[in-house]
Amino acid sequence: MDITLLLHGLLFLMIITALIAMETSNLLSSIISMGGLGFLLSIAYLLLGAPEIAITQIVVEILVLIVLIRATISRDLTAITGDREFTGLLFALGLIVVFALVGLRIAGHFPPFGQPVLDRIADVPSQQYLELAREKTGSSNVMESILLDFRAYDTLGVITVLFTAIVGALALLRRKGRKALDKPDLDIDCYEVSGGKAGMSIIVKTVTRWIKGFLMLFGMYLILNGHVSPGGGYTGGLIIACALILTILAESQQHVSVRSKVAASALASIGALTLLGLAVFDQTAAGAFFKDFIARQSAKYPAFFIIGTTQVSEIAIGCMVSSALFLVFSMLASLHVRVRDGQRDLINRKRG
Amino acid sequence: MLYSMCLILIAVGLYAVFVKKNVVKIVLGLMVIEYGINLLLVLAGYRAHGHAPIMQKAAAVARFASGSVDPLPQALVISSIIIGLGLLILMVAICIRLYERYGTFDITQMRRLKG
Repeated sequence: MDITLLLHGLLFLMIITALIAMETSNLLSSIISMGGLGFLLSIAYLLLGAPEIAITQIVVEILVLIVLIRATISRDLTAITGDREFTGLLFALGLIVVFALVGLRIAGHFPPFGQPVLDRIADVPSQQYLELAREKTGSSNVMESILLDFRAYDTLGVITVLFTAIVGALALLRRKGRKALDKPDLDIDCYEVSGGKAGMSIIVKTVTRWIKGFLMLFGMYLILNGHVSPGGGYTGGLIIACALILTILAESQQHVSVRSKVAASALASIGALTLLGLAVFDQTAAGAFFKDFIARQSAKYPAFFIIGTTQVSEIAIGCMVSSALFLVFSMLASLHVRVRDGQRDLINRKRG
Repeated sequence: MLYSMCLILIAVGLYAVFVKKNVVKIVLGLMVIEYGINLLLVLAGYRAHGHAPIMQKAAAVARFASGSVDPLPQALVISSIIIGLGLLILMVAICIRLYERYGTFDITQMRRLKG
């Protein structure tokens, strides 16, 4: 089947799903529609020759669903309907019209679909990356070599942003030091919605116990094989985080010990610092930031293990992503909902 | 045509951000915008009948380079997806705190300042 036609269909479905997500009054169903949007998107990536992004998108989508459901479950007591004031609406519509006009002008300057820039202009960076990736970095996955070698500066920035965002979320979510929250009026435990304080049912627990090891193994495989196959630090780290989060959700929240939280935060910091240290070390060893000194010494293409700095940074990124996400989710899972007095009756009625 | 459909997707997200009252809906709108932009970038890097930018072991470099899709937008997009996840977690944390302070997700009710 023609890929263009297929993509049109997928995009049409995506727009419909997005509209449903925005217009349903029930928050839970709108979040689940967002999940549908994400999965359609990952199919589109798969068609567009980006298997790595497709994997990442699926895993990210699952995590997004968990975060959003955790944030809104038992909280959407008051159905908020209607839009903002009329003037605001008018202003918004005007802005969207302006955006559409500007966007259409810009879309006219985009290369026609199916003919990327590297087809029309000789020696654009992408062309050089494609030609030099294996020789310069030892990695045959060109995307990973761009992320971790040619443009490793960007990745350092990305890791910094991710680290900052997660530290910010942790600072917002922590309970110690927030005196106002010390004596909550009413605790709604998150597991009351799904199976009580002892965790979920025995079926879920058993399946989780079986599946956990395989998920972790798959994540590690992706991290270690990022240079030859779709995968890499981000994807593998996300999948390991998924395995850990599955355990948190299936067992009760008391299952997360303080020691594992400390270990996770240490691991996240170590991952981020390794990446930074690698940059500095490259500076001394090879004379430039993020210049691959290992691959240059071994010109032959070795089979599996340490083949260059790309793999070291992949492991570092995997450690950082998985442990940081684990930390945030354990925080989210142990969060109690504090509800104002006015809404206590509503909840009691709902419970009783 | 594909590009304009992507723009429509982004516009749907913008509409939610500007018009919706519910904070969670606004967060969802921001996510839709992010998804639209990511897809736009990957679409721009597609080569007709191209393959993924992953070299097989025996492949000749020149033939591989002339048949692969553009790897640069893909590298950008994967970073963007990860940053999007981090930002979503931050936004959700803010939403939870807002709910605790005001007892509602309604953004029009959050006007009063409390120290």
